Amino acid sequence: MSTIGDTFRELNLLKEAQVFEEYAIAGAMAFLFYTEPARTYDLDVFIFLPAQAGLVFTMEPLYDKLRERGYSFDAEHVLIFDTPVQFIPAYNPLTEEAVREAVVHNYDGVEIRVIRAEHLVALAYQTGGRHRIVRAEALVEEGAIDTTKLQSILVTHGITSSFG
Amino acid sequence: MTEPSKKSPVEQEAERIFAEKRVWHKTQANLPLKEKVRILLQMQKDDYPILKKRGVLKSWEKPWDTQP
Repeated sequence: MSTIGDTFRELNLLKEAQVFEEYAIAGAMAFLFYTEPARTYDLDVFIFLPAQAGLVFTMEPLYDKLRERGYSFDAEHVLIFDTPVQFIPAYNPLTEEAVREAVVHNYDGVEIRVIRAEHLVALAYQTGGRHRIVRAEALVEEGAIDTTKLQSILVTHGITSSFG
Repeated sequence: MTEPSKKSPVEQEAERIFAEKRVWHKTQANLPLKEKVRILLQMQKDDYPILKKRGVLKSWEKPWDTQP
């Protein structure tokens, strides 16, 4: 049976194959690297895609490349070793910065890029949603973040929160 | 000489309980990554029948057929 490490390794291979330019684990799986586990049924991955011509953005070029490589899909999720992975293009300056500044973690011998804790908190406040805020506050309470870094991110991106 | 506590015994007991909870959460947060993934996979399996019965799951929301 496959392991989560196999899925992570595949993300690195997809980057090497230039299916996307860069990636970083986001969402609940990213939180798991810094705080206690919370249930999730998918793996969110922020990515940088090659620039597209035209006024309309589409994920189809990415999906076409993944289909060519033999991956199957379930709705917008790509099944990589039976793990539903949702690729999300970095969609604003905060998500772009989060991908650029992602931290390399080692999972069972596999190097994997994960959004840093301070960006996860900032994203939670920018995106909103009760469950995200609760997870973000847990990170802050556990002292898992650099509060100076977090404050800098919040100010840079004009995010209002109760932190700081 | 120490000042007597101004908190009632009930407040002190509640504080002790919450302090223990904080320690438990911190311990969970500091587990090895692989152990945290194992817990996640187990949570997926444990919650699935309940969530499925409630009809709140999307097609792709199911326990991952993988190991930590």
